[in-house]
Amino acid sequence: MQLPATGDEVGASSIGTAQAKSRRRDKIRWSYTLTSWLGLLPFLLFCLLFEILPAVIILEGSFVDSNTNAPTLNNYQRLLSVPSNIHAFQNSVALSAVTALLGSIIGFLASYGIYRLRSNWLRNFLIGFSSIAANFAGVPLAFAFVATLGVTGFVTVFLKNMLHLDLYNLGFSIYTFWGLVLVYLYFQLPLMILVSVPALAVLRPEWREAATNLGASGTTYWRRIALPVLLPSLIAAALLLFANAFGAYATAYALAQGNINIVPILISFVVAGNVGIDVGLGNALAVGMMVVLVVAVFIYTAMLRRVSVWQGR
Amino acid sequence: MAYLAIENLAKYFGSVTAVDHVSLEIERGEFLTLLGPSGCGKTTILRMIAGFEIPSEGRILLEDEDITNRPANKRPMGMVFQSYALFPHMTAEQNIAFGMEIKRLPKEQVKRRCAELLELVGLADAGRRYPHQLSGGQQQRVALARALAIEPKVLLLDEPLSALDAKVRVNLRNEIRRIQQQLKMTAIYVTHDQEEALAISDRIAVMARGHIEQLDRPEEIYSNPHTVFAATFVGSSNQFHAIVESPAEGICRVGEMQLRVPPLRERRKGDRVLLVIRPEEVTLRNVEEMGANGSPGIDTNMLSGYIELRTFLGPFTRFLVRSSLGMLTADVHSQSARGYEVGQQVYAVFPASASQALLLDAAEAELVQMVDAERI
Amino acid sequence: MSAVQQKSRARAFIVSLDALFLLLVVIYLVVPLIATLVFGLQGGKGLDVHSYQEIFTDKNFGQTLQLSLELALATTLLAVILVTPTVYWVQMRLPGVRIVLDILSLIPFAVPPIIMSLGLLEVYGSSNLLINVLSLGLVPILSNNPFNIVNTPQLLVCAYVIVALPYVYRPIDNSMRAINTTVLTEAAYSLGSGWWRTFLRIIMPNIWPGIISAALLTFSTVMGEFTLASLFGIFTFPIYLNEVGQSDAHKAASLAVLSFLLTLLCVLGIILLVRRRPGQQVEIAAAR
Repeated sequence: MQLPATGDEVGASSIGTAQAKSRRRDKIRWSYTLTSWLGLLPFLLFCLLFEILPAVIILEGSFVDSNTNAPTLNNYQRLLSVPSNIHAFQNSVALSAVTALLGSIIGFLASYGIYRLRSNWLRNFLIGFSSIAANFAGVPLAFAFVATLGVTGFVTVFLKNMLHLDLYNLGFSIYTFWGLVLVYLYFQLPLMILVSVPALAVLRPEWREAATNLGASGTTYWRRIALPVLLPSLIAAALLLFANAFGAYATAYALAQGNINIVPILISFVVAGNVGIDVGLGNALAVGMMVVLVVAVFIYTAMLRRVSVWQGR
Repeated sequence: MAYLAIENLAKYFGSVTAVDHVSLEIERGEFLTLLGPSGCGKTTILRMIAGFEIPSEGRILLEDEDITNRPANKRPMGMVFQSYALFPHMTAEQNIAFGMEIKRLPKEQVKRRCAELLELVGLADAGRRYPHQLSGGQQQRVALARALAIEPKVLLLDEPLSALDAKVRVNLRNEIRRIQQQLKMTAIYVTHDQEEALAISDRIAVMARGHIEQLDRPEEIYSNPHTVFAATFVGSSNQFHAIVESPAEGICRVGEMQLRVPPLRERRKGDRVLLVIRPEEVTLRNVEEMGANGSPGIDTNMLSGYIELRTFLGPFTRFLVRSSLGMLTADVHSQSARGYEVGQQVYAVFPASASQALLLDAAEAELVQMVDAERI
Repeated sequence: MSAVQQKSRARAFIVSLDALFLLLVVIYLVVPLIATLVFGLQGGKGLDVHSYQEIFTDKNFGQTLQLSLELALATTLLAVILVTPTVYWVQMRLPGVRIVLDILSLIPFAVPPIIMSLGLLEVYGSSNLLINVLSLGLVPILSNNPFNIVNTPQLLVCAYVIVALPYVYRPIDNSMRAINTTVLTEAAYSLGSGWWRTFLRIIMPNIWPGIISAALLTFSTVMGEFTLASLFGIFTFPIYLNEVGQSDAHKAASLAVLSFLLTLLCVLGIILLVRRRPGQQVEIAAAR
């Protein structure tokens, strides 16, 4: 809807020439567009100052040597050559990919379970519970798992006393990579559920009926109809999980605090002024992270667009 | 002085011309309908009058004052939308009161007027209900009341009945007309339903492709369409492509046959025309009957053929007769239709005065085809 | 066994597979909560509320909780006030720009708090010509006197608004698209209403579910945010939690329970206050 400029433009019965009329019309249209953009200005400015410029400065800073302030590719060289940096990226990607994959598959199956529940009350309760669990991350979550599966954790002790099963003797530890996976799943799984249950609602019962009517078995229905339709949503969800885990800092920090080598922890060393890492390298690390995340978000958006196209929106 | 006038109004959307230099004058208290298929520009014109679109060219004058560039919320027009557009979080009464509150009318007056308007639209005790508690027809009545509450100079209605059931549509359109006449309100109505337009308008502007084909009273448009489009869009019709043989005597040739039409003043021999005959002008005669009564008069056309389809439509019955000229539709009062059955040999008879010969050019032919396709 | 019987046996198996996984997941989610609750109540011998007592009497508990509440409130208000009119404005005046808003609301996923902290520190902590130019001179103004916003709670609030942006934008945008915003606006205008009146009296009451969702999500996000506060050196509630918890495991567990209850309250708030219209999605997740 186009609105003439908001102002009190009470036109008199003008008898100007055609030229004058069209000039006036252009001027009005131009001032309308200008006002339109002005209205957007506060938000744009805010995003610029606190969202875009930080990203820009990181990008710029990654090409600058912190000591000499001269342009350099040194930071990236160190990024790609120093083993601990490479390990950090490997760990981050592995952690995120594993939790995303496990979270997607297990979470999807659980979502399907919720989807098929007959009781509305139970379904809403589980969804509500999932949203709480999805929000329960960071420091408190780390503590909760220490209290559960730490060396003197409740479950650890329980297993030792009741089932004579000593987890830590068997090599398990909450403070390792796989321990972190277990903890991350705590917010990854519910997130998957929250995203998948509405995605499943897209499956119309008529499709199942039509497929059965045409002779398809349950497996065929899943293989040829349901999964292909759901696939973009599932991929999008998996990527959301990936990005979520990749950027997570607090949980890992509270739990492992330097015993785990992942990129967010490395970057925090820079911000905290840790001597081992300089700003240039930190910027490079951050750019590396951003590249990975941008790719993930890009694919995520593409998948969602595919979904809405299919739904004719 | 016209009450509302649009001068040379045009609107372009990119390379598409939605409204092509339309001019129109509306008298005070008149009910004018813009009638046409989707995409003909009627809604765009209405929206420009309301202020929701800015014209690319032209002016809009209300009581001789140029309001072309005035913001929508400063125009004294009330609008009724196709989707009702009632504010879902307000009751019917609150919806109606909204415009009056903006004018800062005293509370007592607002309350009184709301009650009056609800009474006017036949919803006296529905004031406290929310839109989702009202049926479609009721919602539209509230919308009408809401638009009238601000005492607009012009009432704009954008296909207000399209979203409603058939029965409700007929009732409500009569209501709208009754209220408009009672209040002597100037109204501009947009619709694609030609029956609706014929029923309630003082004048109709038949539109196609951004311009007005014909602007006339409903009876005139129906019986004297000026263009092929007007003839074929309004009402149903039999159409035959013909070539003018003798303009003075009113003879045209369709295929091998000669048909009699009224004397053609602006045609010449050899012109290609479209003959348009309303189905209700066509009567059926039994073959035996014809033989007994002798030949028809010199001003009557008679085609022999047989009945291919018979459709009972209540007050009248529609016959499809396959004749040497092609298919002919005849609408006959159901009481008179009793003697005719499918497969029967008959004569389809229509007077010369019943046919319109309209000059046919390529563009019009195409337009007619498009409209017909949509109809199906 | 006939093919049909075999098939329905298989189907039954698959059916129970998802129910099984659902059960496992629920157990997996519930056990740590119970364990933490019990662990927190185990002071020395048996169950007691010792650790809770200590927490509640700790001065820092009240102080940091208050600070976090203030930050959360400020962020929520700022976010809603900034985003809601903008979304409406764009929908009515610059519909083509919507895609820009979509992108801006996705950037926080690509620039998570850890990266943002580094970026903000550099932007407002050091002087950079490129930044000064790009920001139209605003950054130097903000970085120096009288604002000096580097590492201040004010900057933290602004950063939080960005962090919460996806969770504010999406519900509000969805809400605004679920109601017929354009037609309602035109109706209001045809009755003489101006932009602000239409926005406040007509549009906002109808997108209330979206605003509530956005507000509560923002609130819970800020109450639990650790990264930015920690790296800025601002003593918020999650920082306090970490400090105390690192030294005393039982207190850590109790604090975890408290934190969980807080989140529970926020989410319950959304579920209770937001009456869903049929077919509308309610946003309830803020990923961490």
